[in-house]
Amino acid sequence: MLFNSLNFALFLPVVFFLYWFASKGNLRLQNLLLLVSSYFFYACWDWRFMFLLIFSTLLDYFTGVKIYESANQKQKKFWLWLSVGVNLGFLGVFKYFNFFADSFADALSLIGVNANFGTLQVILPVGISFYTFHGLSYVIDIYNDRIKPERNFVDYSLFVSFFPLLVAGPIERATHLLPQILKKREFDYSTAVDGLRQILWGLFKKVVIADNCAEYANTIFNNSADYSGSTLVIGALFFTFQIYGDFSGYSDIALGTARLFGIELLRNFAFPYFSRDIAEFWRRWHISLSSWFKDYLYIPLGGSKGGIWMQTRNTFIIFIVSGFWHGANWTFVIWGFLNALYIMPSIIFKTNRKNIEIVAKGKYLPTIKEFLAIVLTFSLTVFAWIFFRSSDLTHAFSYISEIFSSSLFTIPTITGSKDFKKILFFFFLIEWIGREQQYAISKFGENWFKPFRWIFYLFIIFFIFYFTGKEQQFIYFQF
Amino acid sequence: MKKFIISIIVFCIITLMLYFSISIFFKPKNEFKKNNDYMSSIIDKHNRINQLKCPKIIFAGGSNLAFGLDSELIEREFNVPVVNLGLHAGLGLDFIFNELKDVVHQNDIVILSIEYFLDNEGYYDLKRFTGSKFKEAKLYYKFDIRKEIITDIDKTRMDLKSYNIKEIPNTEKGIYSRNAFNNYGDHIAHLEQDLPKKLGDRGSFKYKYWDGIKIINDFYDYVKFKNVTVYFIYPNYPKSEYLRNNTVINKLAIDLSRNLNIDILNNPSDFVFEDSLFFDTVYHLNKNGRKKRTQKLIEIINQNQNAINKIISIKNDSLEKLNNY
Repeated sequence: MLFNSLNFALFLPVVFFLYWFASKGNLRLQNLLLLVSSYFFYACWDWRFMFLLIFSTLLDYFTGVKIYESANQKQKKFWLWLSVGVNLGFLGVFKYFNFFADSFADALSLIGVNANFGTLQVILPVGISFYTFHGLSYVIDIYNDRIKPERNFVDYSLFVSFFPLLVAGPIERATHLLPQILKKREFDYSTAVDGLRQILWGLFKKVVIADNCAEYANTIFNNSADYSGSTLVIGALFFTFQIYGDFSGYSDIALGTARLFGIELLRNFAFPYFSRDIAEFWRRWHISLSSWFKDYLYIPLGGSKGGIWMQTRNTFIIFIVSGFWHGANWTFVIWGFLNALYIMPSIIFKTNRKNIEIVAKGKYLPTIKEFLAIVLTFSLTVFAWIFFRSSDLTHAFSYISEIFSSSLFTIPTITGSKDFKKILFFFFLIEWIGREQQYAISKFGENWFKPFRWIFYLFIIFFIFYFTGKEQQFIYFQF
Repeated sequence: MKKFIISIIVFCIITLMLYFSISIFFKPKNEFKKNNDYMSSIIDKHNRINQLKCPKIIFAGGSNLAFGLDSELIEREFNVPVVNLGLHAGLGLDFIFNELKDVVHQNDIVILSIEYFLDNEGYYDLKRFTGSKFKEAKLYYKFDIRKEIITDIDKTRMDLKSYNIKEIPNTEKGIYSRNAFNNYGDHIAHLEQDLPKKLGDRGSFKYKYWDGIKIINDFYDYVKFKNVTVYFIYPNYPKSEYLRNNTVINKLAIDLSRNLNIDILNNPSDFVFEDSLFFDTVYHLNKNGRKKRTQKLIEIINQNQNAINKIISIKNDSLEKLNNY
């Protein structure tokens, strides 16, 4: 059930109605209802993978309790590694088995050995990377005495499976979400309206920006051999906007939906393309994943405590693992490696925390220096996305080599329709104006006369209606 | 809460009123009122099938067949009537096989040439459009109220957008029209056309176990009691795209050879041709490509003793009935 589908448009009001009216404010009933709805939502993708989700939930629930009750460190460690091993084992089998089998066979063929390990005919269970990380953070936090295990199975299951975040995040933490699940929730008009507004903006980003950009990006990337360097640059730009519109749009819908039920999820995007350096970009892009890797991989590896070499090593590790998390393909690994490379100067010169606040806070425009820094950071990001989008490394390298050829100075053959360019400009403008808020239209027109504000929303709905692109699966569902 | 619900209801009513105003006041500039569009050629294909009361060879699949087969040449070669049902891959496997179940008769030979990794469902709007032109086609897909609503919304959007397009393409005369086909169901209007500069529908496949295998086997189980023989042939494909997708196509070929319950007449590479032999998409051959593929197919059938025996067995029956007809 896609967020931008008619099914979801029917599902959400029904759950909303039952949640606030039928449950009559009974927290137990509300949580049970949300859990059942979440399982129904997940079963709509493929009911067979429900068993995997439930098994993973049961595993982390029991190991969490066992870790907490263990008398000594050795036992604690055993239960922790059981959970980590089984969770990562599932991830490995479903997501990476074919990749490792193929890569190993390729490596052997280089030394003249023909090997065929066979591949598994399995579909990747949707959301497995996300709910596995949910569960892992929970057991690791118990192991590190940051939290106590949740004894109520329904509440714990809801933490793992809450439908807005189940298939593509944000990757929640038990410390943030569980207390909200356990607390009585009251309906709040302004929170609910804010949630709907965020859903609307998320839909606009997904349906108008991402899906339309996807059509151009797919045409150019799928036929890259036919296009000049200048058109390939346009293709990379389209993909840059596509992936932002797609994933941040998804996150906005997820956050907005959760707000309708009185639950605040972690923010996942904070206008990353306005970043002035790569370190800032990674504080603003897929925030819940970046912080997950920081807390559960970077810091346990020693973080920045061991001096510059350890920090460099750990940075490369988390970026490469993060790349690999996105998919079983060398293109993602190179994408992660490139980003690690990009961030190195700011780590070496200790400028990685220079740009904490959003650019040009309280001003209309950035300074020239800030503007140039944004352009440079954006260009580096666009370049890295080429690896992310390419089907394999050969494709990526041929794409890039054509960009750095004389055909870069020809007139591009695909630039997008005039109308769509206007929409892209409108989108950029709104994002710039709203960059200090949680999401772009959060406070847009808040002081306007209500009918005018509604006209603005109706305009967005009209744009969604008029510019709906060819329906595309959310990119992050495949991770 | 009350305030929230009232606001939502009022806002939804305003939105719906605006939507219905658009759908009422913005009528399409170009409506396919006459049955002269590309999909309406299904009417002629079925007319031919219904007229042939004898065993025949039916080609079924997507537009790789419509654009890439000279049925007349095959009919002359084997002396068995041929019908080319290939129309549009966007109709999806379910539609294609439901259509086949509806038209196959005792002793027919069905040759399937299906585009790589074609999905079951296809495009609902295309199926609905085809159903509006040929009422039997409504039985080839499941009515889905949800998809009907989405298709209606899409139609309203397209109608509105047509006011922003200066030149509406003529769907009644051009290459993609009903008149573009010959009596056998082959698309021929493109044969003398200049080649477009770029091939459409290029792309990389992602390997997955193809659902089509089960659908083909189910279809075979359904028709084998009518003594219908079913063969599978790989579709034509440009060399550049084949090289790009070689690994995935080979994996698919292994799956097909292991799991299909029908004979496969060729290898994927048999119908891989130079890009210059294609017309406007990776599955549409041009004049020379079509000729080459048809000759290659005749050669492949001639080399397959089972297929030849089957053709011989129905030939006499067909000729007799055809002469009477």
